[in-house]
Amino acid sequence: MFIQNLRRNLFQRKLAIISATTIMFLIVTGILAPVIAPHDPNLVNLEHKLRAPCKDFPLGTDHLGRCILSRLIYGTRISLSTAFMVMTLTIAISLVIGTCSGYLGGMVDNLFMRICDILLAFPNLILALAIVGMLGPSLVNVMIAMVAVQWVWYARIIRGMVLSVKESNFVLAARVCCTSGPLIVVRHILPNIISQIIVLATLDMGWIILNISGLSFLGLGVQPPTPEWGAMLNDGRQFIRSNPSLMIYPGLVILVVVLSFNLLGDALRDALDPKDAIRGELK
Amino acid sequence: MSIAPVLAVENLHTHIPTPEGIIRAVNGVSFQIGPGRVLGLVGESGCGKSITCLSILGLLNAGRVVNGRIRLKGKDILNLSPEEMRKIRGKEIGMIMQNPMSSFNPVITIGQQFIETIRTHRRVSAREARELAIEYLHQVGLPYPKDLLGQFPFQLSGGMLQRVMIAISIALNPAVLIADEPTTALDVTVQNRILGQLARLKEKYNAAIILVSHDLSVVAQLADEVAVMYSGYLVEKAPVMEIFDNPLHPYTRALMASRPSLKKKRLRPIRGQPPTLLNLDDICPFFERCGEVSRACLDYTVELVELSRNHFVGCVKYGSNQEVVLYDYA
Amino acid sequence: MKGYIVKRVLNLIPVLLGVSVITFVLIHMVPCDPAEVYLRLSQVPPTDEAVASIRKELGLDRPLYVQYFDWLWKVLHLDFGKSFVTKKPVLAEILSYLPATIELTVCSMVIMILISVPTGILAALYKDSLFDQFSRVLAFVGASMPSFWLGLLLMYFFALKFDLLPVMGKGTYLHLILPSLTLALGHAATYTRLLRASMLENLSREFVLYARARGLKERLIIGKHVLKNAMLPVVTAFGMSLGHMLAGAVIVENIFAWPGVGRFAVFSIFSRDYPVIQCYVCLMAVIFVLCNLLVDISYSFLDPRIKIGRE
Repeated sequence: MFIQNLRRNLFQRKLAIISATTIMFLIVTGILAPVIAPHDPNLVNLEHKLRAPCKDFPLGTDHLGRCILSRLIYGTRISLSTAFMVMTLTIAISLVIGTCSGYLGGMVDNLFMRICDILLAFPNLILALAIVGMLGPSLVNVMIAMVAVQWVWYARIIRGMVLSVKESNFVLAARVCCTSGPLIVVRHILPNIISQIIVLATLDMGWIILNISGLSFLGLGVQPPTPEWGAMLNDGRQFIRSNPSLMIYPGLVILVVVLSFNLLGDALRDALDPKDAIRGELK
Repeated sequence: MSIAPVLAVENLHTHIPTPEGIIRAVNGVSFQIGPGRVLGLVGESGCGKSITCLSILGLLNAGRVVNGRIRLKGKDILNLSPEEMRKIRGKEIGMIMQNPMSSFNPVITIGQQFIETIRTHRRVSAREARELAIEYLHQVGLPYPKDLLGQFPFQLSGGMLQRVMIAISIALNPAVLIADEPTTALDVTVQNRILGQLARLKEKYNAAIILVSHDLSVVAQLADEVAVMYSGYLVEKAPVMEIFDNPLHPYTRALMASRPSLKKKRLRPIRGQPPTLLNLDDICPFFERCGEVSRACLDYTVELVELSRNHFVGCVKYGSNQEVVLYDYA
Repeated sequence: MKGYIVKRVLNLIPVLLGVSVITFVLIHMVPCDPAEVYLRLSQVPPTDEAVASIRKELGLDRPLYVQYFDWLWKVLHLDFGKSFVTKKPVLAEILSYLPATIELTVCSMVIMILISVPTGILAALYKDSLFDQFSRVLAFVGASMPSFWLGLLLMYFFALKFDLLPVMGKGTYLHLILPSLTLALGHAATYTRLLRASMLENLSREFVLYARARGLKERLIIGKHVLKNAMLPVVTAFGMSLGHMLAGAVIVENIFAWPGVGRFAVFSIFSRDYPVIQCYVCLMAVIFVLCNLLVDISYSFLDPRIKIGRE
């Protein structure tokens, strides 16, 4: 029975390594895109349109004769970089708001939480949709919309974490020693919640990528001819009968990327047990 | 004992497999109880008292009984099918839990939980079961039993819930009742009342009771016989007066000495920690903390030796091939 | 109990007010002048005089707070203005598309519950069995899969390759199958995991031990005692997943050309029909909030600790 447990732990660790490797591989691919991609992703050549996978075009071409593999590779750049930017901004904003709200309490806390309540009354994606709708379809606007919608979730969670750490003995001890507020936050509270935030961020990367590609799929994100996985799926829709590969490959890539982030996030969550984080602080 | 024992446990060994190794939770525990008698099972946390009780009831989660025999009214119950064992639980062997507040289902009424228990073991209609429940709740001294049936566990205090548990056991009239630290979660005034209820159980219904506790005073009030456990071993077993007047095993003596009393000024705890139950060596388990060690302890496996009438000890000092050395402990 | 309901309903009011503020603010995020857009959509050249007169007509020249209260007043009378494109009342138009979305969402919810509840419970009861491991893997993959890809795949296999089900639009109940399946599967993954976790947590609680010690039948313990406790967090999650479904419906309606509000909203975004977008967002938020309220109230009926009330 416990042999099963042990085996499962090792297996999970292996999964974590595989997903981390996959993500690293993707990042490298994105960085080295101009070197790796066999063709220019935006090169239109109607002579080659809708070709099956062959030596020249390893994954075939789309309806405008562009190499699918190259577009996927360049798409990595866009998806990963935008998702990363969205996540960083979201965390930065929600960290500030969540920490202030949790630590200061009182009126500030009440105010921020009321705002969060109101924003949470809108279903997530619908509010993002509306913001993009108002600002106009473009990748930047999608990013803005996602940050505007996501920070609320994070702020709530961070506030909860701050509240629980605030009551710990070592924080109370620091306050007794008249350590200033900001110093307490930076030196005592933040280190204890950082690991949980990293887990959240990793798990959320998957969600962000899904949403960005989803909005691009609807035509509201990247504008043509920029190569992006969701947009490629949208292009491939019309040819689903004749060339299903146009829609299979981009979707597969999205699945693999999101799966990797989710697996990594899960593994990190198991590894970075909050109890260990607090014990580490006390050393 | 001229009357046949209701419950006889012989050489019980229970092991719990864990990723770190096998925990030997119960090592060769044997005892018998007759009808209407109370056996006090005493020891520190983690000494195996609760696991022994769970082993008797067949409620071990990860653990397994690897050796020994358990006989209820002469019949072996270790090798019964799950369904047969289920019929015995509650009806023949009842249990009262340590933590009454968390032992009841929080979203189902007390009445429902009581009635379904009755109807599981007796062929009665819902209305009859309800009447029975009211009657038994009344017997344990709970006010307004009719209203109580419709209430939820969070609406009652710990003491009241404990009495409900006793009422449920009375309703089924088991031959054996296992009371696992019934008063630990309650405050002292309530404690007395509960012990009183258990005493009535013993007198009126002639139930054999296993009273598990780490509190010697509780045991002293109710038990006829006391069995002391340490590290999964039974180290001493004697009638209650005998064990209090004349404790023989060093652990028992240390327990007696550590009780707070008006005469002593300082508490005398037993120093050290109990050993982990993983990979016990072939030395006496109490070796590290014992105040009376000798070289022979390093090569001793606990074995109960009967010294005087019904007084059993498992210490190298009282080995079958050694002189009996008795001395007082101040 | 009644107090609880009243309190929750009263709490709604500031939230709804906030929703109205946000909705109102949205239209002022538009980078270009809504008056200009209106003119363009009406195929009128946006000269300066025309723009100025439209601004006056639409009341866009007044101070913001006046505009807000005016807008709020109209909204409370269920007047969300007229579509820039069709010039018809917006609310009526949206409401005409709403039944289709509701049909889709309800059907998806049902499918999702039918899939995830038994799977989650069985996975917990037979923990670490082949079924458990398989369903966990499936749930994980399902939660990572883009819904639009899943929809296209289902469309490809069931409709185009094997010609089993209709693909586009709304007609017979057969048309409902693929869209609701797509919407349901993604959320079923999350629900299954939630239920499994909830069951496992409750299976190790002390009241289960006592129930077994009383000799209750295992079927009764799991079917009644454990399940009642395990379902509580699931009911709460119900409300949240409704919001996600309403949002996910946008993509699914788009793929399968299902004539619901989501599809209409996306069209309106492309045609810059701002009043429609505004009304859509507001309506969805109100529906979401009301559904959450209903879920909360039903939860309070289920959990006696809230129903009878603890001070």
